[in-house]
Amino acid sequence: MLSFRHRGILPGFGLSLGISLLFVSLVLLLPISGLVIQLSDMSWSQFWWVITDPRVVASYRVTLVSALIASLINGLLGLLLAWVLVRYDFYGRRLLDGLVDLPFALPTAVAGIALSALWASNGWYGPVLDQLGIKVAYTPLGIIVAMAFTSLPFVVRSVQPVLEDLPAEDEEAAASLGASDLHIFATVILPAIWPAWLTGMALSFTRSLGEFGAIIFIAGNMPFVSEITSLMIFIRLQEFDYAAASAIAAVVLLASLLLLLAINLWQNRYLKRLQGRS
Amino acid sequence: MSIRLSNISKTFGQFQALQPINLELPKGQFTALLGPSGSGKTTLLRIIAGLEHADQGQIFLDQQDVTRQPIKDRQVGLVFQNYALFRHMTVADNIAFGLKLRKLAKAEIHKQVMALLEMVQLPHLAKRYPAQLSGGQKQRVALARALAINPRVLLLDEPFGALDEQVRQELRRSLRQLHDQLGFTSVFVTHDQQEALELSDQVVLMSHGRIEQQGSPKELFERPQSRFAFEFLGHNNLFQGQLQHQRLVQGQAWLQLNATSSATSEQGTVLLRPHELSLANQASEQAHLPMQITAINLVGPQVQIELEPQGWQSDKPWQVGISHQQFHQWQPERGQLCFAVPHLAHFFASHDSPPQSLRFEQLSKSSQLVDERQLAYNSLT
Repeated sequence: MLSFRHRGILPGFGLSLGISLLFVSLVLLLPISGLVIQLSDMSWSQFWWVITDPRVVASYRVTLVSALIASLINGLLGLLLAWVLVRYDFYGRRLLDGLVDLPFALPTAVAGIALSALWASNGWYGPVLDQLGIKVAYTPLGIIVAMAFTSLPFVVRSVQPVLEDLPAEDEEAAASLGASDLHIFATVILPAIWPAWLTGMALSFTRSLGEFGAIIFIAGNMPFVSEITSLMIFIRLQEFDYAAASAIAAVVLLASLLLLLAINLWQNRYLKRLQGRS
Repeated sequence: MSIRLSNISKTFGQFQALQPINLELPKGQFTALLGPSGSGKTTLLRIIAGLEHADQGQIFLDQQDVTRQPIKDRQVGLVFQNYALFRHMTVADNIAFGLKLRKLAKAEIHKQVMALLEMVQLPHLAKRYPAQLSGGQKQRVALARALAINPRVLLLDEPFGALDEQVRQELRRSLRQLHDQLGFTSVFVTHDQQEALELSDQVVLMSHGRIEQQGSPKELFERPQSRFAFEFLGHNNLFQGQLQHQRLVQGQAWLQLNATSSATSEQGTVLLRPHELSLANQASEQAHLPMQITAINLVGPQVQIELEPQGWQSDKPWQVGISHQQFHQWQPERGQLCFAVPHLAHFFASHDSPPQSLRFEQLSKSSQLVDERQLAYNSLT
């Protein structure tokens, strides 16, 4: 229950809450409502028909699989990066720390162009990989690269503070009990950063599901092969089929919400244990 | 297991954390490393544990050179101020951590864990997580976890630092009991002189990376050998003055020195400990230290009386402890004037010189405190 009567020393609870709620409504809830309103033009069967169109279904698969692989790659590299940033003091550490946020700061279209220039057959990496028989640009691999690039900071920034807060004594105690370095990492460090790590990967995953700008430049956008779901929405919009666009968007939205919910529930249960709120 | 350190030194950058240190800690003893922060006591403990490496010197555990041995092979038990329990494991799993690494059978591990929990009086908390325990309970679990590996040495870094007074007392008692019962060798770091003197068999007093003094609590308390040792082991009353005719004089106050102590310098300092003084309504023949009572603290086994010098100066107020019985007879009040009468004083010709103890004859009965008529006189004025 909201209790307006119980005020602290600082005034302005009503005003600040009101403005916050208004903002959240305008920026988050209203667009979602708009989406649902658009959907109301369709019947259930039309809706079902739009979202199960084979080309759209293929895009789900491409998007999900790519996002999953990208977030796993980020899980590993992000953890390594966070580890390096927290555990070692080296020349240029702060610069590296700042660079981690670059994918957030960079317009995703810029990232997309840069990536496709690098990985294309006439770029820097492209020719080398071509000789090995690997094509990245304009294939699903390109999608993974773009997704991994744009969502890397999530894992680093989730894990980093937890790793920083981890008391050195925990590891020292484990070592004194006879644990090897690897054993300490697996039994002491990993369980402590696990929730943050998973959150970071989940955020990276959901972000990858929705990424558009960086991907379309490098993906090649071949139907059934390298078309992502966001692109399907875009195509429907260009056809002025707003209802169909909304229908596909609703599927993406639902998937993201379910994922966030699942992660939160799981994390809550795990944190309860650590914080003793059983 | 006995511990021997030979010529251990350590620097952190420019900072010399430990001067070359030689130290021998006999088997089965409870040793306190005592000192202010920055004295190198924790660094020394961490070197014994294998958490830091000495720049020079060797460490022997039971004649075995372990200088190059990594911590995981040293078989030392560690207990930290912040407990360092594994938060995602239950109490039982925490204690079992070291046992599991020793590849014991499940049933055997369970048996040992229960025995250890019994030992630290927490068998009912086996299934709890650390976050559900109080500070004292956490430290008991940490102790059980360290003892589980049957350590050659138990090392404790400020183990009671984060606990409140009552829990601290309790835990101290049970730690000492466990030590006497199991006979392990242990070293603990503390900055609390009371804790060190109460708990240990041997105290190593450190300052600036050196061992200042080493000995039993009794030796240390009765015969501090430096100004630092005096100042670290409890309150001291300070009297600074000029040497004139075998007297140390400052303003209206003076203290009689003996021939040997006054020979070398023109100035000097005398430290007088609260239990080596008494108060009287008259000055004695060997000391004239006029005082005014500024505070009286009745709580505790002794009455603590705080005094302000009259007609001379001291940086800090003086403290004198008198028995409750004496207090009751004398009935001093705040603001009352009196004289400090030393029984024992410690003279320092300079800051770094060793102390010379001055023993004053016990005062005759008549002049010692409490004379009814004087009391009456005092209360009139």
